[in-house]
Amino acid sequence: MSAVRERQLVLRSKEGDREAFRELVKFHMRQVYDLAYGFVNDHDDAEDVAQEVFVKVFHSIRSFRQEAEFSTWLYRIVTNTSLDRLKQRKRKMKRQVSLGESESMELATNPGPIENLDYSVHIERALHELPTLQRAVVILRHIDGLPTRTVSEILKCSEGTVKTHLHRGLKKMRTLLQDLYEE
Amino acid sequence: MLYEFARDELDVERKKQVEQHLAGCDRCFAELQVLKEGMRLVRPRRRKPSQEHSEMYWRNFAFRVEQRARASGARRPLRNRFWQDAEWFFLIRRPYTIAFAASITIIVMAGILWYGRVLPTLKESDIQPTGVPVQEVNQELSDYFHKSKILLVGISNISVPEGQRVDLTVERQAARALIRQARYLDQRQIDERAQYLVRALEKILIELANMEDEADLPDIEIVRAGIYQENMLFRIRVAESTYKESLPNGVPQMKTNHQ
Repeated sequence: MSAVRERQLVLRSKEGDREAFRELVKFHMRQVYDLAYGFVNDHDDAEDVAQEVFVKVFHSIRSFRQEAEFSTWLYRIVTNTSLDRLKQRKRKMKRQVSLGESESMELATNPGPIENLDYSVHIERALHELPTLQRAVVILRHIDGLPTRTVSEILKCSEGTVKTHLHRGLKKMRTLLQDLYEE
Repeated sequence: MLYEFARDELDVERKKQVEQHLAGCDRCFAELQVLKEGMRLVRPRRRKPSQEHSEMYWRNFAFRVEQRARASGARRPLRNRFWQDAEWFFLIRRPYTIAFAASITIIVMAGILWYGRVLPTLKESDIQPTGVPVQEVNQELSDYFHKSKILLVGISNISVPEGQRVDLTVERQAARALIRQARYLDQRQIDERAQYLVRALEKILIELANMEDEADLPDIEIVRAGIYQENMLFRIRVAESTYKESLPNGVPQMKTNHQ
């Protein structure tokens, strides 16, 4: 989709044109899902986050001032919604642990023997070992291949910070993945 | 820049510079090898998670979003209930509503007429000449860059012994005040370059403001890296002197209440 077409669709959606909004959803739904999955690492949660993101866009598109690209604004919502979901999950897990249900915790953190897992599962697992901001940077910049400037706009930090986190994140993941191989 | 080099995203000139540097710097060369190894292991997914779902799933996705959006819209009780109540009141108390609306209209009209007589008409000489606000804005910018420079120089020079933490309460408070000032400036009519710099600086200040009160060396290093990589101190100094020179007496007057 060209930038002009996207701009037109955004303008029409702002005026309440449902057909235009539907087209925007259809164009971005897969990217939004993939990005959300990168954070939450679960298909059900990724679907829920992706839907929630578009509902948020639906209700707040009138306040979108088009100073940034629509996709940048959209990805920022995906990132924030996914991070909120992770926080909720963490709180839920803490509650479960405090109630003495250690079994569910074990299931969530230990999905099975490493040799049975696909390589992509190793990556997802290592990714979730990283601190939140580092993980966001690695997903957006390295895995999704977005430019550094766009990532800095999405995460509201400087380009320098993006580079630093990317460097540290990749180094840490290298160590984690090498450890997995050695095992 | 090593990452961009490893991904072959640099232009020819930059690439050549990095290659020349790498030829003479063992540390950076070793770092590049580590980074490349990390990139090789963390390669982008071959199969995207969205491909796990069928075409039918994606065909219905937009429909499901619309359904959910409509449902969440229906769950917005405040606005809906208010309008429902207003509509209901209007339906059952129509004569009273009309009488109430008419009396409000008369009061408003009378108010407008009265103010029209009391307030003098605005003369052209009452409007401020355009030069005065420009100077005012320049003064505020100069002041903002001056304070930011002091803060960032402080952060750049702070020394933290390995393994120890340092109290950053004052710096975080200063950063928060400067963020407020940046947001105020962003609403003023400032030139594009100043706006760009104010926004870039704001990102660094947000990072500083969001740090813990007691930070260790790696935390501070992140902020420092942002300052160095954006060449922020140099850019602030240039901007400060530019706006200072544009003032009539060349000296900024400190203003603090921009909240």
